Amino acid sequence: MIEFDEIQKLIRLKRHELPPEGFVDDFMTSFRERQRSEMLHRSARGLLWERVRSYFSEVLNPKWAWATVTVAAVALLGITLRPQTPGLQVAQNQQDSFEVTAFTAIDPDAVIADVQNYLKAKEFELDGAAAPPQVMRPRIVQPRQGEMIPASLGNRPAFTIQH
Amino acid sequence: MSDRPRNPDPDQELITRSQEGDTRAFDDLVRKYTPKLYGMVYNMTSNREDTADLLQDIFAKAYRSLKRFQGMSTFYTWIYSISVNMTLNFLKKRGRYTKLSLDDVDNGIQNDPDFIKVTSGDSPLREVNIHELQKRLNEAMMKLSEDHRTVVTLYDIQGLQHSDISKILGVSEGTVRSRLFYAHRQLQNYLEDFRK
Repeated sequence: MIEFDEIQKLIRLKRHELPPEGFVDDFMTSFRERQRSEMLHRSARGLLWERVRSYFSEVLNPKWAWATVTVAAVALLGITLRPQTPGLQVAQNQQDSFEVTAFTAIDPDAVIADVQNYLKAKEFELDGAAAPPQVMRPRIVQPRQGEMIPASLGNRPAFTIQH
Repeated sequence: MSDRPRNPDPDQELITRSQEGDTRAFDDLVRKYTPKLYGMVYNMTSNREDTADLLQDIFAKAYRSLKRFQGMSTFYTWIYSISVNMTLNFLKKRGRYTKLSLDDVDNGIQNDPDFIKVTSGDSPLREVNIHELQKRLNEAMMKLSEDHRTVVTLYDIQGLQHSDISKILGVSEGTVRSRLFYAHRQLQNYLEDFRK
């Protein structure tokens, strides 16, 4: 290295190039600001991630690991090997479906009311009495023109369709 | 980098506290290493604004990665490795040519024995203005390849040992010495007129 002694001495003079006075303090201030904003930004995502991780760490507890893996594998096999659902086949077949002039947009409140009505009707039935007409009145009647629905859906008490 | 340090890491307490979420402890680490890392990044980029931005990114990354730091190296070599890698990535993206934006040279240079020596007597530098010298040195540095500039920065300017540089760069000490040799030879050619 002796042959480069002079050049090394020259290069070492670069040690005298220094940042402006107060640079470190200013840098610290802006770094803290950035750190705080990153922490705030990440806190929501971090919280969600932590919950997901803790959930899976419980589910994937060694004690339950085999059971979890088996259930997951069976579910996956079931999905993979399952033939097309009959409902879909029916829907694709014009003969087994019927055209409605109206189709239902399901309102959850209406569904609950229908279930309650259905249960009340059953109570009347058990008592050997006829249910009043308002109890049996179907609630879900928001038809859409030209919709095809499977025939198998037509006889559900809580999802009565009006033509 | 994979060898556990023989001596206890002087930063261990601050590291542990930072890993436990104490941001003040991490602030202390930032305050301690900012001047050193600033010098490294600045001499690699020759641009003040880039240096300040890059330094923010370096400490932000260090903070995010701190939980994974297991003390297989000292914090010093770890943070230097992050800095060198991020600086090299930055330089690749920035491209070769850029406008220099240089720091001020402190008054201490006037009393530096090396400066006195090279600017006195028959030295060809005796008429050279400090800022002109600074500009020439930076231009010569920027002509070096990034690998060569890194070893010159770490060894000649920052005064790190060959062994530390090899750990930081993840190369053998022989490679460090070889890079230094070729870098010095090139610098000698670029600054030939200063030696006549």
